[in-house]
Amino acid sequence: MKSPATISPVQLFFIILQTQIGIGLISIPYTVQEGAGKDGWISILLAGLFVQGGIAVIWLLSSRFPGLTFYDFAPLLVGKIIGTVLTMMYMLFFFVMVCYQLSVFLAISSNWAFPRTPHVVFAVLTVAVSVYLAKENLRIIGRFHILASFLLVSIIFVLLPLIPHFEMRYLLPFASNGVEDIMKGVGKTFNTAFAGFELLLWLYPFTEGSKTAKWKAVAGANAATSIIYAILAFASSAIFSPEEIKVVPEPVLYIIKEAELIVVERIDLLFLTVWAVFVLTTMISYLYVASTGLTHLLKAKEHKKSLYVLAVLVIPVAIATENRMELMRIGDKINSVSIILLFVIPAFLLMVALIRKKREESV
Amino acid sequence: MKKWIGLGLSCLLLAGCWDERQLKERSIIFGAAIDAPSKEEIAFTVAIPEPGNEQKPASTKQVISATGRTVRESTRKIDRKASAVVEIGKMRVLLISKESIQHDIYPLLDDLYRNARSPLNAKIIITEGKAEPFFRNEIEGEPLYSTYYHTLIESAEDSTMVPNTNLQRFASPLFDKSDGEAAMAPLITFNKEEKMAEVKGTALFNDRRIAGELSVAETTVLLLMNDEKGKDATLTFPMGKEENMTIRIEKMKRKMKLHMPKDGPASVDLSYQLSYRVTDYPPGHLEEQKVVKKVNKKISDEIKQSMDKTMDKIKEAESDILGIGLSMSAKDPDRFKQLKWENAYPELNVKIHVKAEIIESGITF
Repeated sequence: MKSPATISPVQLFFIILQTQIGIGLISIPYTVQEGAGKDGWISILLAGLFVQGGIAVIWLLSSRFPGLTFYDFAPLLVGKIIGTVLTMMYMLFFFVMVCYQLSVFLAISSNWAFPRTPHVVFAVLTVAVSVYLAKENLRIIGRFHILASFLLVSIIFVLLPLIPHFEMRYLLPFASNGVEDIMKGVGKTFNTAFAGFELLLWLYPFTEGSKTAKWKAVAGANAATSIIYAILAFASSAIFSPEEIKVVPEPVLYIIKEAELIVVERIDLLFLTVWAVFVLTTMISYLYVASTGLTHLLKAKEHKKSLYVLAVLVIPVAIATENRMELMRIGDKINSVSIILLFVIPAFLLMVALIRKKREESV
Repeated sequence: MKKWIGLGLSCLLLAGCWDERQLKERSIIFGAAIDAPSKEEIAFTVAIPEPGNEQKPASTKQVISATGRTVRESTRKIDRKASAVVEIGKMRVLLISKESIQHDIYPLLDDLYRNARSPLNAKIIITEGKAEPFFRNEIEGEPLYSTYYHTLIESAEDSTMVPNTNLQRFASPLFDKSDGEAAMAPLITFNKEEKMAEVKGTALFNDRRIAGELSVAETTVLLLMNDEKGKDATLTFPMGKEENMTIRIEKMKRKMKLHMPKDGPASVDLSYQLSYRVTDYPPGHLEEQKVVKKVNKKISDEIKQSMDKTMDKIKEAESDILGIGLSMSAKDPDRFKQLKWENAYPELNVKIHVKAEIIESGITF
């Protein structure tokens, strides 16, 4: 089962970063303002901190089984049946995440740039590109994710011309909306914004380097994600008045739309293509872990076949609904589920491991 | 070899034929005008340009108007008349007549904010009289009207005559009725004899409707008050008997001090510290310390007076351009809510202090 290809901590850093940054990138300021209003950026930083806790739990858990992925060690902890159920749950979750990412991507790209192109065309193209990379081993995926990360610089670049138009008074006084609202904002972020760090459960055995190097890579990736999101939320709240942002579901595209570099207009369309790459990287990572899950369940040797099966299934599910409102509702549901899968189950398994004193050596 | 065939085939997929918009089937417009005499009829006018060549510069080919109940309906009606589908993605200016915004400007702009293709960095301009004739009338030496209006406003922005705004920035204050900030937009008029448009000043907004006007000179003062100096800002003041002095503001510092006592009305202290160059002053003698002191004092007084006047005007229009309410809510949101800003603002006590200092009286640009 063990893939010979390993990744370096740097590659781990970028895989986690690129998996976290996906569809959420352009809508995160809107998502958090639904709860926290103008203090959305504080919510994001808090959520980032909270996720650091989740990462610590996962890291502690995985470091007890340094040679095994989650699919391998879950049965050791809770028995074969529950272990299989957990494997299926996570596999399903990753599959749903791929579908959700794709659906939202299709909805937004058709709204902004391609209203007449049938969704299925883009769905097939996107999935085909994802499969092309996800069928390879982790090292190749890691390299692609590093390559794609250069595009992150463009986010800062497009925000620079807007700084003179920031209205700081929209943001002041900081944190005046109260702890409760800020926590509401925190709760909304997990599925679209921060999900992705849980991949450590699968990538840990394939990563070279010491225990701490792995932790540093994932914690660092999450910190970078939080900071990028917080900057975007800050910029959006400083440009849109608090009442205005409520009608702008993709604030990042909107603020970029206003910007104008001397010869280039409509930078939002350029940014849309950059964002498409971030969505792709997220889909690639999730497709990869989902297909290894299926492979594990079927006790097959290679993940390619199960990947093809999943990829074919993704398309009809993703294009099933084009209704934005419904997608948002589905997103909220996934969000609630993801809290259980990202935080509760790893914590529970860690407790079991501690109580039963299970380690890889002892089995 | 197989690789190359695959590569070639996948290139075919990139064409994206569903959303192609061919240039020959579209007429790209740079300028549009809206006249809405009542809520039920919105007249939309577009100026379709003709590309230029070496013999002939680009010019306005056609001006088409249509009336509908919404902006989108009007544009669809224009499409019925025009030879090609009108494409607003490249719009640079949007002219709206003063009459159409007596009640609410937002319905006229809603379509533009919703449309993903619409250009949010287009300039918004309010016109004295109907907006349509601004594209119908001939402008001497300027065959492409939309570009003319755009450069007219841009150069006025640079010299601090009109606020620097665009569709997106204009919208932010429109959403909340009592959030303590107000929108403003440049106001232009058409001079038929000279065949020219002229910047007349600024239209002030109270919530979503027009509430007052400022002249160009007052706008410059207001923009200075709001710390929004363009590249260049000049003011002219009387200096005693039949003499005038034109100064150019170089640097400016503003301090806003808010007083919000628990009981009793709020008040504001605005202190300005500015340095200026003298560009025009026939009597001269500005090398003598005594004269300089006198001139500084006089200019400070004059600036303060015009600021006071402008402040009265915007208070009368109930248009909180300076965002004093916004600053107050940033400082103490709870107390701000108690103040009931709509009622408190016109009665607000604003004290203005100005300290102006000459830095150059000789060479000027």
